Amino acid sequence: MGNQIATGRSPSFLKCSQCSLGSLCLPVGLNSQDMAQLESIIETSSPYSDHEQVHTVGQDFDRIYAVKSGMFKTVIVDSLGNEHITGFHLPGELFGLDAIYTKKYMSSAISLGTSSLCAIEYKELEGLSQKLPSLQHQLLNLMSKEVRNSQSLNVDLTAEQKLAGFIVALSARYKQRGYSETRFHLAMPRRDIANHLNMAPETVSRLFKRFQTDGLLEINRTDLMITNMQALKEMSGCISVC
Amino acid sequence: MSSAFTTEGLEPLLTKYDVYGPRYTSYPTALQFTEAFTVEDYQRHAQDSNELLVPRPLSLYIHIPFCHSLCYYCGCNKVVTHKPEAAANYLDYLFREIEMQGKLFADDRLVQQIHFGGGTPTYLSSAQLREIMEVIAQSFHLGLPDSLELGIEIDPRSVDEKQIHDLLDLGFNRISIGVQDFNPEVQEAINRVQSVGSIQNIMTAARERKVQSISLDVIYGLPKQTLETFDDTLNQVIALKPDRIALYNYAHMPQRIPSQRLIHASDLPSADEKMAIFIDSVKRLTQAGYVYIGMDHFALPDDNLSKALDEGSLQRNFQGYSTNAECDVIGLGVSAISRINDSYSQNIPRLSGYREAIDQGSLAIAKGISLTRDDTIRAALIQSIMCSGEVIFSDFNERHDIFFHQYFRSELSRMGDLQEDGLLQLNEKSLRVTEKGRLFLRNIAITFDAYFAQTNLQNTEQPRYSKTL
Repeated sequence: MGNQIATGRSPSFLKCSQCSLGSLCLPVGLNSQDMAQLESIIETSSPYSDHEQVHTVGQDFDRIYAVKSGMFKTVIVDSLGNEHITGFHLPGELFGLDAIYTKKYMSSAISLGTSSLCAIEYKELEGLSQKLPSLQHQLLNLMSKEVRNSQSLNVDLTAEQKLAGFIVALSARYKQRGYSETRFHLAMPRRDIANHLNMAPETVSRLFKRFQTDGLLEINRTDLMITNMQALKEMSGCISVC
Repeated sequence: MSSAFTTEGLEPLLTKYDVYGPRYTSYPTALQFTEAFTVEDYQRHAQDSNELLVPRPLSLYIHIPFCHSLCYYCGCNKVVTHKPEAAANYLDYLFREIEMQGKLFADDRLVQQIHFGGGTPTYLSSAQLREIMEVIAQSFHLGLPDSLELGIEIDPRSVDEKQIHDLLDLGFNRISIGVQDFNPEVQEAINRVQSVGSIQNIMTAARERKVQSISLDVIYGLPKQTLETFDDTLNQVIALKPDRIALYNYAHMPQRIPSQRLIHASDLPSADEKMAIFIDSVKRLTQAGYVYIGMDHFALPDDNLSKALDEGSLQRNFQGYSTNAECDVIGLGVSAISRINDSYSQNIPRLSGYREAIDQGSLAIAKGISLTRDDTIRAALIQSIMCSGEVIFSDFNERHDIFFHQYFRSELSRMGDLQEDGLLQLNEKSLRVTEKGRLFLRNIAITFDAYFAQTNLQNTEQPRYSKTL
């Protein structure tokens, strides 16, 4: 858990100004002086191996996290003890934001594959964002994006539409990050995709097989290659991203 | 595939490339399995295999180790016994293993292939075989009837006509029959006496019931064999017109396989005669219309194996070659080998140890290996060489995220002889095994085997592998 956050701050390799995710993450719109101030409050962490927990449900909120590499999932537990995966977070995306109001983490965050994070103490970020309007603006932007992402799954969709939408949205997010939009690796096990989309794992695989037969994509173990993006987008109804 | 397989000028090549080498039914080979691989590792691989975007179908191999009598040449894991309770007792344990294994795999892991091997699977009664099938059906989910391959190795001496019909009733749609040799003197020298008639009867019954594929096993290099006697055997085999023929090489290794000490070395054909028998066999079988699939296997042009070779969809597995899409293989019973996700593992070979493990409520895994990334890359390459015979570098690079010429630089620099001898064509874009080269698949594959150099050096006195030809 928190023990992975080193006490030392911002070694040079972590500088936002040198990070390829600068155009997506918190530093958007900051000049180099402002950037230096942001860098001074960012904490480094050693990489997480597969399935390590960053924070857990109910733990006191202190930091928000930005994904630096790999992937993290956030999981909530309902009153019956069932786990629901609320999201998969890619490099340049933040999590922990939902705890600002409650002062306790509402979800647990778990790494998928070897992954790394930047951590920022929220009090310091709050203080800094009051001084730097660009930072405040970007923070609100990122929060708004989170709200939008969480809404897009609430619409009543067929399993086929949900899975197509999930793939199209992931593709768009990878593209934003400078990765291929047609070829990517899905680090999450299929049961996690199934859980997130609220369907059975067998349904996920049956649909993937059908998509493959219909020439929409090709699958190699956990790697995906989209061969007909247009058809996938049409199937998804373009609800989350277009 | 053309039927005219030129065997001209083969002798010098066969001599030059006659080295000890693995048969690559797996890569890494069983010699690399270690006891560091535990039941927990197996369970983890099984879990991971359930989590692929589209998990693979399952293939079950069931090992029945019992035989009524000892065939002197045989190096398989077996127990010669006449005690009827031995098999009944074994099945009790086998059932528990099947049940434990079934729990590890997700509900949509449909079983597409079940193969019974041995020993002698037909040592069991029809009722016992039916019971095994029932336990499998209770523990796993069987694939649809039109895609379920049910295969069994048949010892023609151990089945009567009624049992053949029972097997077909049970749904077996692929059978392989151990012929080995039809010559009476050879049969006596290997302690396996059986008639052409018994095999003919089994094949007739199977054909009436539309069995999809009948395979006959023959072995060259056996004691008392000559070019003439084996030609007679081939005549009879060709006349029976099986869909597939497996032509195995007898490897005389009495220091490793004790029963082979009952074979007099003086009865064995000389190296020259053995080579002549091999070349004649390839010529005879291809002239008779059989397609040379690779390694030990021949098939009629309309058999699925030949079609798969043409389409490039051939697969290599523990039973040799297969047409099935890539499956995870669960080996059940003593000494059986599994291939799950990125791992190979082997069950305990001795009955006593196997029973002990199952009694403790555990799977009976003795050893295995988790494949590294390098293993996976080389396994895919060796699979392509053994099956399609062609590797397109750009495709391979994309799939494995490597740069072929860099990754295999030293291996590629050692292909000179194979190229000059016309076994391999190599250019900037691809590597292709020639028609002639298909007889030397092992030699080509060995070049890419990262373990081979080490293991072979350590064992110059007692070879661990049989010779390639």
